[in-house]
Amino acid sequence: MNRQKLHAAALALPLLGLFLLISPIIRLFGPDKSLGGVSLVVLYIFGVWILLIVLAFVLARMLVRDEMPAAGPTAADGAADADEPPC
Amino acid sequence: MLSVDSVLGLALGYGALLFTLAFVADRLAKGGRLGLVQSPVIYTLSISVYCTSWTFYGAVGSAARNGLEFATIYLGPTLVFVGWWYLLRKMVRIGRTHRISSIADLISSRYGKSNRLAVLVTLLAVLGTTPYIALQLKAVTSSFQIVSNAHPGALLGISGGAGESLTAFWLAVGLAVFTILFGTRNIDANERHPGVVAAIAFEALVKLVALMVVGVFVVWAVAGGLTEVFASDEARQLLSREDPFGTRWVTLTFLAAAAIICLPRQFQITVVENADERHLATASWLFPAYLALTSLFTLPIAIVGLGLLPEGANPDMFVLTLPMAAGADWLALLAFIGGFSSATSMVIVASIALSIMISNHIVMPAALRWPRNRVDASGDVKSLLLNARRFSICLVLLLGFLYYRLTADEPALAAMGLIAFAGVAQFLPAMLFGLYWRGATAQAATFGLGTGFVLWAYTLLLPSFARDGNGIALLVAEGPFGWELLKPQALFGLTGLDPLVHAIFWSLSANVLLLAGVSLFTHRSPLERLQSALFVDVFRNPAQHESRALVRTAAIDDLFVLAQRILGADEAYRLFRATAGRQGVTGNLPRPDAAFIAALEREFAGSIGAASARVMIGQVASGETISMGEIVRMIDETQQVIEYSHELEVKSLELERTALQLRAANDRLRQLDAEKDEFLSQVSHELRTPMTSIRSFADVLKTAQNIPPEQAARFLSIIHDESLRLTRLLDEILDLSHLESGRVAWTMDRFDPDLAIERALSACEGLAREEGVAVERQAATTRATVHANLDRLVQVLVNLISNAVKYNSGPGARVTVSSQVVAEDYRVLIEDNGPGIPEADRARLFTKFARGQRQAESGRAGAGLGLAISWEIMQHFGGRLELVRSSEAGSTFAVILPLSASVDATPAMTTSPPAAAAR
Repeated sequence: MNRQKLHAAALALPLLGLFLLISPIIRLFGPDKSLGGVSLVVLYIFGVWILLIVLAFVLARMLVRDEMPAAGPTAADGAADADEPPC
Repeated sequence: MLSVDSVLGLALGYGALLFTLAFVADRLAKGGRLGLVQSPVIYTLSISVYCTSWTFYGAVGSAARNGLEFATIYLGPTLVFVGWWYLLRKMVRIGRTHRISSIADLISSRYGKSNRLAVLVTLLAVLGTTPYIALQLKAVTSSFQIVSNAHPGALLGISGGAGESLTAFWLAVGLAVFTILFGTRNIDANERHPGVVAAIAFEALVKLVALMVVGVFVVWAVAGGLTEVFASDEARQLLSREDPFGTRWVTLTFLAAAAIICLPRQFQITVVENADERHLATASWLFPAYLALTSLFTLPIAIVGLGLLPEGANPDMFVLTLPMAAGADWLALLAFIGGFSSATSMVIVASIALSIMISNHIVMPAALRWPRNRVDASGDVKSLLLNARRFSICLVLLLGFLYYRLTADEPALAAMGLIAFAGVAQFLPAMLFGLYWRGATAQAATFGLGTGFVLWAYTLLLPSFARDGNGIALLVAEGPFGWELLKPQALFGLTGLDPLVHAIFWSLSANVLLLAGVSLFTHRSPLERLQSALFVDVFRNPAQHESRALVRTAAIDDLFVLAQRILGADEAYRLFRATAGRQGVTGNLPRPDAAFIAALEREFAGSIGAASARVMIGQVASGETISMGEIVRMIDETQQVIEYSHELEVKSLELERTALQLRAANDRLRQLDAEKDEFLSQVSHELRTPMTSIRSFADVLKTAQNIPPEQAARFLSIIHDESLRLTRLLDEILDLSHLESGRVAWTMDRFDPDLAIERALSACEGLAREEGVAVERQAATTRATVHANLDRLVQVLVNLISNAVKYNSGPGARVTVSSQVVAEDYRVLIEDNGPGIPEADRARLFTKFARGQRQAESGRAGAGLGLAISWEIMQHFGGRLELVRSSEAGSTFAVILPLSASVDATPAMTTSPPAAAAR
């Protein structure tokens, strides 16, 4: 993934979460449905939660690798490095 | 059952453990061994100070009352953290670059270091946090009462009794001691407190483990499995409430998301205590994971509690009462310690954050106005500040305790969590607008923030005090003075909304509209412009850029005295010497240039807040000018980067195109190379044919003894003819090579081209007669003049006419030559009625050695260079040679020459010999 796409993904992830969690799509997993004895909507919410965590994990790894290489605490303390793209 | 003493002993022991932990961490940090304390995991755990006792106990209560709604309190922060790249990272970067010490400092800094805004935010933060601290005190005392069974209603989760206030008081004292000890050791330039962070992180682990263990116990040991839990009637009742995902769901998610950004304690931990931006990357997934684990068992505990505990039991205490009901006292103790952890960590961090805000934004500015504290007096700002913080911590805790005392028996306290969230959410517009829109002004922020808070207090805070029969209940029910339109929970007649949604809607709408609207009609001061440029484009403009636009001078001695007062003597000395070294100045005192003054001001801001730092520097600095040009340039630079990347894109496109062209050129070169090889082999072949016949006849003449003389003569003439052919061929090749390389040795003249036709016709006359082909000259043009070489033009025409004659065998063969002037061109057409040129040969007609199929069949002599040479000659004349038409009925070639401007000058006619013969 190139830098621009990575940034787009960083923006898209919370939007995806927002869509999955507060849009009417959540109503598809109605209150009276269940799967394996556990309420389906509960499974859905935790499923989305885990999905977001996993995606955030992958994204954070990529972003750190590509954009925040070894800028130690002391280096970042003084000056922001000027090479970063505007966000 | 547990005795009061054992529970108290445990709590005290746990407290002692926290003190030890914080002490060790502080020592480690002092010794430079920050590795463990500053790890991303510790950072993430400390962020979970978000989960207070309100969530530890209250989430289960919320789940028992409203089903899945409790999840929103965790989902909002999850969304904020997975989107860390755009908001949290920017906040952390700004916080680190500009040494922001609190959320009030951030907002005041952004809006031109306005102290008015800082005071406003501080007061509102105190207003929103005090009840929240009271809530924590209440949670600890109630849980203490319940778990030590000091009250007969314990299992119902109802606390009360005389001992409670005393417990709360001593708890508040203990927390104050801890916070003062580890939160105000020094005024660290970056406001970091490693000891506190370590203790908070440890408490985060304790509360998570406690909640998980209780959850596992309740689900599997008490209820007998997850399926059983969800199969119960209570589960069905809880989950089948009508429409849990309406406006309240959305509002609560938004509110929680705003809270994780705006709560003073969250800002303190996430931004101020952050040691490395990369820790945020870890927190972006680890914190949501923590939240998910925390809420994993909330719903099952609520369901089991509803089913198992007696009617009327307080669901807010299920986490504690369920283990007790099941007889697992150890587990109840663990749950108590978990709740204790979440309550104390919140109080500690919140009081630190508030004390920094109070001391920096209220005490400092007041002290600065006090005449005795002028810069010439040797007042020690550092100890003033530390004492102010210690005092503020006590004040905050005292306020919390008093609030608790006043409302201890009111159920209203439980609602305080969401009310506080809604209060701090009012900071959000000023912050977001400030971070992403340069145009937001301080005045607009003040208006928006103020109005938002007034509306919040009126529509949400005030109604929470309504009790049966008191004045507030009346006001809520009928509106002030009976004005229906101003009813707090149905403002302007807006009914049908949940009270919380109603309050959020009005307060935030007014806040945002005023902020945006007033911004459009007010102006920013120069300092505000500078700060907005630095904040909005923080990734482009490092703090050093500040001194480009902000220029002032000061005496270095004054600055040093000031730095000693604020930072302490050692720190000031170290800073000045390091700067002098960087500037390359000998001695310990640096040059007091604009860059150094700006850096010093930032250093001060880390300790006393941006607004006070500015006032302090202002006391010793003079001649301050802010260059608008520089600010505009700073903003432009950001623009330029965007343009630059566009340029790069264009350039790379160009490169791509060039690469394509190069590839095409390369292909063409390869083709030419192949053509050259082919040409060489063809030339060799063409030369070999006459050479072979010459050699073989010479051999015959040399070896054979008695050849009749007439035969020998015939052989010799063949050898002669072949030699001539060879010479001609070599001449042609030379000719062509000269033409192709552009080295032509002939002179250009002006003449009448009809003359060339006459000559060519007479040259071909013999051949035509031999072949029995009729050659016809049609319609001589009116006199035209072209600029060319007569002999060469004749050569072209002879070549065309002789070709037309040669390949036109058969009865009635005829060649017609005509000339005409078309527009600016002179045009000779040579038509024949021969068999035509096959389609396949046409494309290669004018290339070297391109003899057609028919020619090969007819066995006619010719190297196939004639047309190629003619074509090149016409190119040199600036004219064209074309095959106009070719079919079964014959072919037509056209020789086209541009007319020459000068009609009279026809030197060629006089220098060339006249036509030998006419037809």
